[in-house]
Amino acid sequence: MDYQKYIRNFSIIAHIDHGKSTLADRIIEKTGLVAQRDMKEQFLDNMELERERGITIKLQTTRLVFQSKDGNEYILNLIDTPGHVDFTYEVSRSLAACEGAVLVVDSTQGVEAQTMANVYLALEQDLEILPCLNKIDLASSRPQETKDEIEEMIGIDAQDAPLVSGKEGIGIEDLLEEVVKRFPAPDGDPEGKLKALIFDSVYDNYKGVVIYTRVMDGEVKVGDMIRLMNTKKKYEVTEVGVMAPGHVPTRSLRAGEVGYICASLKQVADARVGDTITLDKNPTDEPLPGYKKVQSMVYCGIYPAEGEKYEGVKDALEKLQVNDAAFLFEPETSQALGFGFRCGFLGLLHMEIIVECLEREFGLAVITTSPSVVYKVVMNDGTEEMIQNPTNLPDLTLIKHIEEPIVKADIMIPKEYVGAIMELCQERRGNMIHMEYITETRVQLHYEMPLNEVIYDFFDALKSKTRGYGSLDYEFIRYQKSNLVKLDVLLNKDLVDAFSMIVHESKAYNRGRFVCQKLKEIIPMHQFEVPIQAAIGQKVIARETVKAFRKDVIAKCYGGDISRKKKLLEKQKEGKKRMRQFGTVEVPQEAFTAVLKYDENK
Amino acid sequence: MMKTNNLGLYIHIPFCLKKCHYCDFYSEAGTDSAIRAKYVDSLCSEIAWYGGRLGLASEDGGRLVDTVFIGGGTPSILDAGQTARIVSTIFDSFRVAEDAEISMECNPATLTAEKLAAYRKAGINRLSMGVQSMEPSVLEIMGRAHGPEDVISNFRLAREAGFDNINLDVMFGVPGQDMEIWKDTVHKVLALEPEHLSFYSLELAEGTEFYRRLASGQLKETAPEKDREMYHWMLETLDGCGYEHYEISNAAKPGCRCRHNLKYWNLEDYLGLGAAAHSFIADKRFSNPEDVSKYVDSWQTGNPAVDWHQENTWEDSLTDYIFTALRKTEGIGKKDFAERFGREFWDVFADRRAEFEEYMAAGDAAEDNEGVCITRKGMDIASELIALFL
Repeated sequence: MDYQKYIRNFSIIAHIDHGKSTLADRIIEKTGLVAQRDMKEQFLDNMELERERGITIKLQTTRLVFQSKDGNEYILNLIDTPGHVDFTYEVSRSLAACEGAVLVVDSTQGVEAQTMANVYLALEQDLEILPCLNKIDLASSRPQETKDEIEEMIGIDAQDAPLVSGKEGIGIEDLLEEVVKRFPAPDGDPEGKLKALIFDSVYDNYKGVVIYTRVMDGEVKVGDMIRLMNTKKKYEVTEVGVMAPGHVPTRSLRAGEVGYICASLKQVADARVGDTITLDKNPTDEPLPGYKKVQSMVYCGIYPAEGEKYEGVKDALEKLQVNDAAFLFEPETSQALGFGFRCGFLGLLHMEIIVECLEREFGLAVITTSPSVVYKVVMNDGTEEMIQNPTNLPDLTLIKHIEEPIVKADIMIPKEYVGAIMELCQERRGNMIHMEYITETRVQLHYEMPLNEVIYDFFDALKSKTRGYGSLDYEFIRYQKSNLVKLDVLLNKDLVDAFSMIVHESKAYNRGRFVCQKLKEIIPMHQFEVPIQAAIGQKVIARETVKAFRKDVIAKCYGGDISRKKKLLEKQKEGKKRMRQFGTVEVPQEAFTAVLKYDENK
Repeated sequence: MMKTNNLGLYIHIPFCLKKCHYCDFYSEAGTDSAIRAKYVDSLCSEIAWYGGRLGLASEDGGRLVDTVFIGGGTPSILDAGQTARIVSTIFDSFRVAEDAEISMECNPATLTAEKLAAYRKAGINRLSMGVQSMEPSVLEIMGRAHGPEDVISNFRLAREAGFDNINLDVMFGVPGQDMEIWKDTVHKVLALEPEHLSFYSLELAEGTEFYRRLASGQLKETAPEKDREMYHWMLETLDGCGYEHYEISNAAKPGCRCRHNLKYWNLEDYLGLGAAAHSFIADKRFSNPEDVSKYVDSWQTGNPAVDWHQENTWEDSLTDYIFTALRKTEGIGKKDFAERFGREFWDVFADRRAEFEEYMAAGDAAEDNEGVCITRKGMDIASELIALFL
């Protein structure tokens, strides 16, 4: 098809910090669609949180117009990808919408673990990969070595890789010329039955759900009745268009094109990433491959902090859910924390993002409880219960056994860390399936591991033990019978249910001791001694004591001190508001997450 | 304590021989006498200027000044003549009560019989001496310029000059000071039989030498329980020697409480003059710049140097009052409170009552028909209790 000749659909993939977003900004700037002054620091990473962490969470897709030296004008659809293990599935769907991927490698750092993981995802989708060396303006840049590394490790020709600097705007046009030359134009039959891939969706206050899609075959236009093949729901199309950026309506979207569809969907969960859109009256025979249902892997409780309103938190969670199909929540109650919500996430990062959103974008103070996976509890009478909250674990005498989710974990690391990581995996009850050398220096380890070992701090530990070079991918494979116990925490002899967790019996002692030590560091001194105990049932397995607090007094207060010292005291009081009172013990909010953080010295 | 219409005057002398390691008050060390002379000129201009508004030269002849406090810095660094000039300018500008308390701070080792005689003659009737410790090694850590023997000799000189109302300042919780050293200091100080004692737990303020040394690990902070042990031992010792503990860090022989400082704690009006001095007059707070040259430059052209002011709202004054009045062992009088703020105490703070009662049950606070107060035990967590009402 003629129009397809001038379209290129591609992603940029990179290791975190290799400059993906800066490069994307330059590309957008070069193609002249966003004036420089209108650009926030990095156009594609437009959530505040994303900018701060330097990672992309929510996809941004942009349609660019590029005037090539070959005399033709091309439409470049740049489809962004999120950059973390929790979102591997989302990345794979974004890539499935493309024909090519620009692989950005920092020429001062060389190929890194996550680069590999992303390359594999791109290869799985049969994408053409165009390597490009970034940060060539830096003195420490070593382009030739980096090219050799790419060839050796990835096995693609890198000698002609464009040399660019996203920061300085060097080599951007050359890169785009290569994109046009190297990446195939999309194909697909515009006359065929509609088959379009949903790779993202967002909620818009005016339009409702905006589905981002790549049309594979056929054509979709306003007024069409579409069917989402996996959810089997039907909607009438109210608008189609392209991201130019911003939503620009067009007459239709045809095979090979990337754009958006609005069809009066109420929430993004209705437009599941990976689902296939077809026409209701002339449907395609088979959906696109690779669809996965969203599955919450990690659950935790989210509660309003002292002085925060339940309704406010509920409103915010509803708003977040509208825009995040992977996020689930329902009301629950905790003895210690009162009314709150049980929330489901893709992983720990996903959880942190939601919590930070609540705090920053909605200005809410919330408390999160220990994350938990979903356990299958088999009762004596043979019935089964799924437990997401350790507090709900039935009485042990009624339980026949407990099963926990096991994941297949693929870990890629430089070979010098093999020993350390095998030790780590073993310590996390991992079972090695096999190990392979990808290159002479790089190793992939395949493990089966209990998910509850992965969610606590495994990723942090992996990063820490491999100086950031390790990468991880995991997926659920089965439930497996396991020797699990419920570990409770008591503060001043009172059980605080929000701290309860389910752990393997062999880990209970260490974890109990760790939690007690952490809490001792975090809980401020009180006027009385506060014993911190970890217990399994009635049996205390670890104990620490916060010494009694004895001094909180301003010694000197005369004429000039009154305003200044009063303000200090008011500030101090403000800080205390962020604590939560349990019986007689005040616990700072960060205690709930700090007990989960990886600590190398523990 | 009923609020009176009387005024307290505070005069700040921001000069020191050297800066002590714990001190975060505004003062300049190592200044020359020319700067100090200019400063005294400015100070006298300021006193006279306010005399025209609140003193003798104002329309109604002004408010009665019943306390004057010359503080620092080290006021005794000035020549006796300069000090006398400041005091006489006050007398010339304000209606000073016949029985006014006129205090001056001084450092041991800066006093002589001549100076003391001049102070007396000028009208100063109370001295406050910065002893801090009687242990040479502790004095050295604190960066003090005097030795224990200076305290004893200067104290004697002051008595000989006729000062019958003397305060001594001491500090505890100082790095390097253990319980034995503290007891020894207190015993030596009590042996001098001062009328008044101030005993301060060391506060680490940012920007001080102590803060820097602590942050860099050169010094180790006194454990809070040690600090409190020193404090309570001090209070018990004072009980046995006829002193009345009347504010967190102050005790006095009967009739010798510092009337000037009580103005701060009773939220009465005071006028602060000199660089960095703060005033509270008719529910307004204002202050002069913490900068001698700025202050002097202003007054050389006859302009007030005030660089900050704030009008207290009803809530501001209410919380200022709580913040200071609860420092006193007698606490807040319910009648006084109602008269000042037009509402009953527990009417204003109904929502804090339950929590206050928890503190009462723990023995940290007390209440009777007259008022509410922090107990001796509760003094350790006075800030927490005060914050309850902020």
